[in-house]
This record gives sequence, C-alpha cells and structure tokens, in this order.
Amino acid sequence: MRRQVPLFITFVVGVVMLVAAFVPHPPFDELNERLTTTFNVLAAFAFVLGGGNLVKLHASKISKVEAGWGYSVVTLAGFFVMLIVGLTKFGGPDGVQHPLEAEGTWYYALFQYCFSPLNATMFSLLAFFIASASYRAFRAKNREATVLLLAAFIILLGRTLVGTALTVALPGCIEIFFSALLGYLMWEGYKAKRWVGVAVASLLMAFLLGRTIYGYTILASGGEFAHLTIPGLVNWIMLVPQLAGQRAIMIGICLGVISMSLRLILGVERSYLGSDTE
Amino acid sequence: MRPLCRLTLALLLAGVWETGHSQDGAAALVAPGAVRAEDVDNDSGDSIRVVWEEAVDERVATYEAFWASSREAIHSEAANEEEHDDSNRFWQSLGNVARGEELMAIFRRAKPGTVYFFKVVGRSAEGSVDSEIASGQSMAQWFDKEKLWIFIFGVVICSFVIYFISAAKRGRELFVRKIAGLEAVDEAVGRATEMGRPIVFVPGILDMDNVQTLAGLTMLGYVSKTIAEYDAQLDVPVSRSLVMTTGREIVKQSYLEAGRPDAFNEDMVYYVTDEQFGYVAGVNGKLLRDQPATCFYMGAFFAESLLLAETGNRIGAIQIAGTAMPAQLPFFVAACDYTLIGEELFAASAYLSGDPKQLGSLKGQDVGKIIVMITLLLGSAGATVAELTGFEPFQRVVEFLTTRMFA
Repeated sequence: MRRQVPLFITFVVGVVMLVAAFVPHPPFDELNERLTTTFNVLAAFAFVLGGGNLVKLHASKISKVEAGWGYSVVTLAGFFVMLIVGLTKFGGPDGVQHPLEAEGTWYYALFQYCFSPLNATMFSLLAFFIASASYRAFRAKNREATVLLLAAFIILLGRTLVGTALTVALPGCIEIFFSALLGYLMWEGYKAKRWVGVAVASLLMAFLLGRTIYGYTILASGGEFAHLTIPGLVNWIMLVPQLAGQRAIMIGICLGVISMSLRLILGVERSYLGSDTE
Repeated sequence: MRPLCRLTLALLLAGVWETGHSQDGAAALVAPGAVRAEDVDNDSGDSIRVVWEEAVDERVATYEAFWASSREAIHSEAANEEEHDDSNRFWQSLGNVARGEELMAIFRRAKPGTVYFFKVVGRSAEGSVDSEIASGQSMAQWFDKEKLWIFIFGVVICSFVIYFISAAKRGRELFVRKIAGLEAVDEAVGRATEMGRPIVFVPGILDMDNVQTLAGLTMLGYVSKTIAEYDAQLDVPVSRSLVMTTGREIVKQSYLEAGRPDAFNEDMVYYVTDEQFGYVAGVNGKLLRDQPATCFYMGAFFAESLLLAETGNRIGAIQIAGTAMPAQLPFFVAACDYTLIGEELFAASAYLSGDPKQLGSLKGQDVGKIIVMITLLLGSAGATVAELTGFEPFQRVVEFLTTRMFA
C-alpha cells in the first residue's frame, strides 16, 4: 500500500493535468492554478522542516565544536535575528499592524543594508568566474574548441565599440582576416598533403572572398551590405547557427520531458518514491 | 401661420439638439458602426470579444468600449437621451482604441451563459457619440482547437513511447547509445572513495513541482546506491524543504538496497536556504572547506550554475552536471568534466537503471526525434522552394506549417 497509493495518486493527477491542458471547460480550466496553490501551501508548511533541520544541524556543530563551527554561529545568528525582527516587526510605528517590508522597520533595514548587498556580492562574483571559465573554454585544444573560440572572438568584437570602429574603417575586414587564416591552413595542409582539409578550406575561403567582393560591389553602387559589418555578422551568428542549436536542444528537452512524464504517470519510473523496485 | 412657426422652431431646436455635443453648430458626429459581441473561441467561457467598424465620420479619433451586465443600462441610455442624466454607473470601460488600430476590445470577466451588453463611444475634439448597443454571451469549449496539432503530435509520440515500453516488457532487445557522463559515474565515485573525500550532489534549486528536480532526484537514487556500495561519504545540500524530505527517503532506500542501512545518516541530505545566492554561498563554502573529490549538479539551475561549477573546478573535483536550462549549459560545459545536455538528464535514470521498460521509453523518444527531423527537413525544403520559385502550393504548405501547425 505504501507504494500503490502514491503511484495511484501520481497516475490520476498526471492524467487529469494532461486532460486539463487541452480542455478549457470548467472544472479543468482552474485545476492547474488550484493545484499550484495547494503545492505552495504544502511547501510553506514544509519550510518548518527545513528551518528545523537548519537549526538542528548547526546547533549540533556548535555543541560538538566541529571544524568550521564559527560559520554555524553566524548562520544561526542571522537566522534568528531575521526571524525575530520579522515576527515582531520592530521599528514600525503601528507595531505588528505595520507592513513587514515598510520603510523604517528593522526588517527593512536588515534586508536593504545587509541582505541585498550580500546577494549582489555573490552575483557579482559571476563576472570573474565567467572570465576564468571563458579562458578555459576558448583554448583551441581541438577543432570544436577552435570553432568556439573564433565564434566567441567575433561575438566579443561585434558587441563592443571596437567592432563597429573596425567595420567603419574597413568593411569586410573580418572576412578578409578569416580568409587569410584559411590561406595559412591551406598552406599547412598542402605541406602535410591533407587534400580534404585543403579542399574544405579553399571552398570556405572562396565563399568568404566571394561574398566580400559581392558586398563591395553593392557598396560601390551606393547600397548597404549588412553582413560586411561585424555587428551584422554577430547578428547572423546569434540568429542562425546559435538559435538553431538552441532550438535543437529545446526540442530534445521537450521530448525528454514527455518521455519522463509518461514514465512517472505510468509508474515505470518509481525511484522518486524511494526505490526503483517493489 | 402660428402652428407652422412652432413646427419650424421645434425642428430648429431639434436640429441644435441633434448636433448633440458638437460645438459651433458643426454637423453631428456619426456613431461607430456595426458593434458585435462574439464569444472568444477555445476558452473557459470567460471572454467576449467586442468588434466594431470604423466610424465613417473621420473626426472620430478614438473609441472607448463599454460593457454592462444589467438590462437597466439600456433603459438608462434611453433616459440619458431624454433627461441628460449620467448613465455611466451601469457601464464600465474596456479600454480605449485609437482610430486606425485594430477595432476590438476583450471583456474577460464573463460568466458562461450570461447575457452582457456592449457599446462603443466614438470621441473627437468636438464631442462624443454612442454606438448602438450590442449584446452577447460566452460559452465554455470542451476542446482547445488551437492545440489540436500539439495534441496529435503528443498522442503520436506517447503512443510510440508506450509501444516501446510494452515491446521491452515482451523482451525485445533495445540498443541505447553510450552517454559519457553517465558512464563516468562509477569512476567519479571510485575516485572519491580512493581519495577519502566526500561526494557532493546538488539537485538544482527548484522545488518538487519541477520535472528537472525529479530527474535529478532519480539520478541521486542511483548515485547514492553506488556511493553506499563503495562506502564513500555523501553530501546533499538542498534549497527546498520538500526536496530535502524526498531526497532523504531516496538516499535511505538506496543504502538499504546496497545492504548498508547502518551507513545511512539523514544529515547527509540537509537544508541550506531557499535564497538563490545564499544557497550558493553555503555550498561554495562547503566545497572550499571540505574539498570534495566529486561533484554532481543535476537539476534546474540559473545564475548559480557557473558559481558552483567554477568553485568545484578550482578545488580539482571531478564534476558531472546535467540540466535542461539551455542558458546554463555553456557554463557547465566550460567548467565541468561531463555534461548531460537537456534530454540526457531525463534519460539518465532510465540509462543507469538498465530496466528494459525504462529504456523502451527512450526508444519512443527517438521516434519523436525522427518525426521532428522529417518535419524540419520537409518544412525547410518547402520554404526554400516556395521562396525561390514562388510556386503557390508550396507557399500554402509553408503558410499552413507556420500559421496553423506550429503557430
């Protein structure tokens, strides 16, 4: 029974929610919202469990004077100070009738001058971590990483003032730069007798030089050729290859979610109940 | 002559009144034409669409649509004409629409089967003029026709998933390609055991109502079983209380199955905080102090993905991540040793369990991919041919695909 009842509930709720996705008629129209509200109520009650666990774990660390017990003191102090200040609504002119987040309350001050800066500090660390992760990711250690590096180079260039400035000075410079790079690769391929590589590089080079010449003819006749600008190339990379890849991942995710949901509804996947066996 | 004079005077006065709110004796404004109230399709019967035609009178610059639920509103209109009293207490605004825009307003508070009344007031610099009153009622539909193609695709894909599950039950052999990240689980756990360092498992930062968290927790079941068998140390910091409760149950069961119930300690799965960056600070501190040998990140992640993965990378841990958040995947790919991309996260539990029924569901998923690929190829080819040749049947097919099937 311990296993059958949750499986039955999962099946019924899963099927009802599937039906509700396609049937707008009452009572199905509000089911999603009501079940979400029910879940939020459950989660709010469960928070007591989480808070209790936090206090128990850190109190135990302090009492046993385990390594890093000082951090536990800070954690518990923060927890209780916010809890007491929040419950008693200190600082509000109308006592407990005052709104919790109203300006002037201790809660507001702690939130505004302690919590928010700490939150922002953690978020700001992301900038440094992105730099170190990019450095590692863009090292041209294999073909895929090289493509990534080149794409990243163009994007970085195109999203800065330098990209625009270069384009104004020399339209099509990025095509010419990559043509030169491909020319070097062709020469290396020729020396190593890698004819397939030479053929691919020459085709790419012909394409790049061809579109540059085509772009210049358009420019000469007074027209505009957006792809000759680096920001234009950046837009193309973001809207075509990047978006195509992202959509492919999204389609895979959707199919994965369908498959996973069916496994859960049909009771094929049971490990979330504590075991994958009866 | 006297009656004739009276009649003339009366007609003149009537003419002045007809010009209504207009000034300087200008011609009266002409009301917006043909107001209609239509039920909005594919809804629960809570919406009525009010549409009207552009006023012939070009002085009308804006329109304001009104609704009323009481029949008294109509009578008040009549009274308004005679007594000039304020009838607005019955009418409530649905918003303004400028001339030239789509002449439509939607009333979203309807009760199915109840009759409502609607009018449109045309406004100009010189005054305003009311349209005829229209009435309408809404109805709830039993099927959302806009989702017909999603329904058809869903039924087809689900049918294949169920077919392959039942085929696997009958004993059919199924081939599933190797997933490097999942093959490395044993190696990663073994490394931590040899080094005598803990293994950290982060099941994302969303709650139990998210399918990625469920996928992460099913993965936790298999990982914790391996950890129990290797007698390594497990650490599962979570950011939601319900995830903590479920995680504990899962880990406990895994230790039981591995024959090591004595090694289970419920403090292995512990709550940190619901706050995103507070959680990151807590977990990162733990990573730096305890120096775990292996880190798993399986579930839904946001900006904290790189903060966690980079810290793990800095301490030299083997890192295996999996998420279905496309924006976070590049960060995990850059900072982790193995990354389960999107669907691989959902396939992980089936893959690791080796259960034929679960593997069958992956096969059904593959058929879905084939259908999508064929549709994409046909759509791309059709769109290219339609663009190059302008051939009308192809253009119709492309229009059908983009506006009806995948709208």
